[in-house]
Amino acid sequence: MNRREALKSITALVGYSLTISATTGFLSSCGEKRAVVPEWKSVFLSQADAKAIEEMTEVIFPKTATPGAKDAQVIKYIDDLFKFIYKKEETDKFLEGLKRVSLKAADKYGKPVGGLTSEQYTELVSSYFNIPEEEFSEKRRAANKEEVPTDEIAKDEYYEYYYFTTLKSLTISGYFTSELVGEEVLDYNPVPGVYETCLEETPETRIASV
Amino acid sequence: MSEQTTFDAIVIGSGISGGWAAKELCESGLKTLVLERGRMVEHVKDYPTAMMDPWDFEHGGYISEEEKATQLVQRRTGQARDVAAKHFFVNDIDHPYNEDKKFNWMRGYHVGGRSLTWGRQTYRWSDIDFEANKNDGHGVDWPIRYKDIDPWYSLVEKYIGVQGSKEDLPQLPDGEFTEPFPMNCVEEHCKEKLEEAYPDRNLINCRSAHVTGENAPEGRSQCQLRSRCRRGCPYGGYFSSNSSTLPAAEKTGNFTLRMFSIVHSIIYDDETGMAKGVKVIDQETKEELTFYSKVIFCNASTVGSTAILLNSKSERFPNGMGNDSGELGHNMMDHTILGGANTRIDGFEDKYTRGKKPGHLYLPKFKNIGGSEKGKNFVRGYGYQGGASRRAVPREYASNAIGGEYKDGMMKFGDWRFGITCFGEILPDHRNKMYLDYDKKDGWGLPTVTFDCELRENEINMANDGREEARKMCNAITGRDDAKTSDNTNKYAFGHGIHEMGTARMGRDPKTSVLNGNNQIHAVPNVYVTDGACMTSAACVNPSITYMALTARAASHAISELKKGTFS
Ligand SMILES: Cc1cc2nc3c(=O)[nH]c(=O)nc-3n(C[C@H](O)[C@H](O)[C@H](O)COP(=O)(O)OP(=O)(O)OC[C@H]3O[C@@H](n4cnc5c(N)ncnc54)[C@H](O)[C@@H]3O)c2cc1C
Ligand code: SF4
Repeated sequence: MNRREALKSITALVGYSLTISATTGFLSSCGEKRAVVPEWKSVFLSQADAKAIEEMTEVIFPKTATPGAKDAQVIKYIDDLFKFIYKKEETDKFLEGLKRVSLKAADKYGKPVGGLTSEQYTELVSSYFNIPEEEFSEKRRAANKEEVPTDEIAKDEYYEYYYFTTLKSLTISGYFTSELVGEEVLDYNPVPGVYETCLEETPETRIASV
Repeated sequence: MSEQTTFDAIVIGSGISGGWAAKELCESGLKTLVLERGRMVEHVKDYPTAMMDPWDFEHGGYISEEEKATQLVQRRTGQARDVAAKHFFVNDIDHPYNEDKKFNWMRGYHVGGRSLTWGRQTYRWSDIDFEANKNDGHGVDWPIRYKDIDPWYSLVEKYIGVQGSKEDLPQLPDGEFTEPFPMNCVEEHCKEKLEEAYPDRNLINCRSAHVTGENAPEGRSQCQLRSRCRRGCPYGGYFSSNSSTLPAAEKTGNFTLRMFSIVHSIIYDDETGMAKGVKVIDQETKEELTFYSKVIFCNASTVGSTAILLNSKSERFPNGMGNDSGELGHNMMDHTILGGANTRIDGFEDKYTRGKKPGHLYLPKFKNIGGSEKGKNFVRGYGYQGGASRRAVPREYASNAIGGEYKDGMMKFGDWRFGITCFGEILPDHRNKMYLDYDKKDGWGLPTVTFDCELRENEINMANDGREEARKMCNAITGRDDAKTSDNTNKYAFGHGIHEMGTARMGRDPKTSVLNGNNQIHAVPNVYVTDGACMTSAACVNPSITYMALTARAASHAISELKKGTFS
């Protein structure tokens, strides 16, 4: 048990604890918690890929009144899953997608994908998502099949959509299981002590994180 | 100092029923040895995940393919897929079994057994259940009736703590309940609408082994409404052997617990016509050991105890101890969980709940209980577990949505949903069986268990009816016609209810049953089997409280027999 764990179990043993209202809005200082973390080093992805991917997660989940994907360090989660959990075929396919997206970006913007401006990232990522829902689903389904198309254009699309649909899923799950979002954005109430049966919802009300 | 090998009593297994046997025997002054095949799980200390949040788990809570490969069978149930609880389920590579027909054998080998991971739903049986076999001719008649077990239910409920509401229903007798978990406003609404449409049906608070109200049992405290029970509860908020019965046994000074002790067989003594001890294989050293006692309680779980008895061969019992009837290993039962229905509830869009109830609602059986509602093409009945809750806005992983508004939208509550899942009774049937395969041994040289069980017409018809009634009730609540039924028929395998029982049944006649009305083996009176193996029929409610009550009752019988000197 690490120190943090030990602290938590001590709280547990105290028994009924006062419930502090955790439904207060996002405090503007939240992001800082992560900002002070020393420069993070990827364990699987190359630094350049990690940088590019991180910028793209921020397009999927940008900072608003609540933190963005970068604040929640979604990239760290993705890097870790690729190293420890994903199968080699899956990571290879994902990276192949990133490569093809990068080539397109280089063509269009005249610089490597790691060096785009945030407007350019937004434009790039959005061009894959901002298409009619049906067309998007079709591309997603095709991208998740095993057989690779032979036609070059279809092949690009196959890898690129695999990359983006995987990235979107990982951004959602990484963001919503992050400590920052769990403890400071959503309603963090690990030891409720009571079941409140019928509360009035307000615009600030957020779902529980645990 | 050499290890003590002779005791007054031996209890095999430290799970839900073994914990009760240990407590009752030790408290009566008997020197009791509990043999447990697995490792120690000490209350609080050995619940490593109890206070962990999602971000505290490595790799976001995902596990690698290699790790999954060690629990491919256990992972057939969602509970074992939970990274926070998987260490309380066995490693399937070390503990193989065989399936003539698919059978989900979900279990944990450690001190406390499945008392750590159980769902804690706790319902008494009624005489409708105890008389069912006699009335419709399936299986054999129970040798006991409700009045025989009623005081033992009370004793157990008072000790373990059961929250629930008194309802005065003939098919679901009330017990010694503490304050129920409150219904949320939508559950109250659903109750009202449902009971209005169906005056003979009841949507009630669930009954579960959680501590509520003023007086917590010794050493335990009130449930904190966090719904992380299957990780082990550091508050002792729910009943487990580890938090409750084993500490009570230990306190007496009469309790010896031996871990890593795999019981191989029970030794029969021809001279006395009784059992004299058990043969054990040390899990770590593989050494063979023998322990002796005047009385033996089998609480290794339904399948575990039956396997031990089948493997206890002697000249007197060539087919397994107590198997004169040929019923040992037969009549396996479980509960079907083949689906239900759910629906959206409108009108409460500005309401939400906080805190997590570890149990919601129950809808007791209403068909074939003597009232106006009869099953068209089946006997016996089913009940439902369910509840209403307000979900988060769905995440739509697959959609084309991205951006800040989309992200923030998912932090909000979405629809309220009400849902119920049907639990159906399985009939005792000689054809549903388990047996031992001596050609396939496990790592300790013990024969492996093979299952050959399947659902038959009565179970399938009942489940179809249960789904259809669930759909109708959901629609009656909403006044709409769009309730969704869920059908698990393809996913279900026998055992999936994790309520396996019946393979050493109680009965009145030694020719057709293994145990008598006191849970003694007919022909070996100092061996008591008080886990699920003893069950003569299955009813449709969760069974563990009944195992506990029968165990306490049988222990009291054994204690008085010992005092009389019957087993010496
Ligand atoms: C996820 C889940 C949810 C459940 N929900 C509910 C519910 O809501 N309500 C309900 O009533 N029931 C529920 N159950 C079922 C309940 O857990 C069992 O009915 C109950 O635990 C059975 O008690 P037992 O004493 O027979 O066996 P167990 O609790 O399984 O204990 C058996 C013990 O014996 C040991 N053992 C086995 N073989 C040997 C051997 N050869 N030698 C020595 N020791 C041995 C095991 O290691 C284990 O510790 C649930 C079970 C699970 C897994
Ligand atoms: S819900 Fe209650 S019993 Fe379950 S783990 Fe939480 S506090 Fe313990």
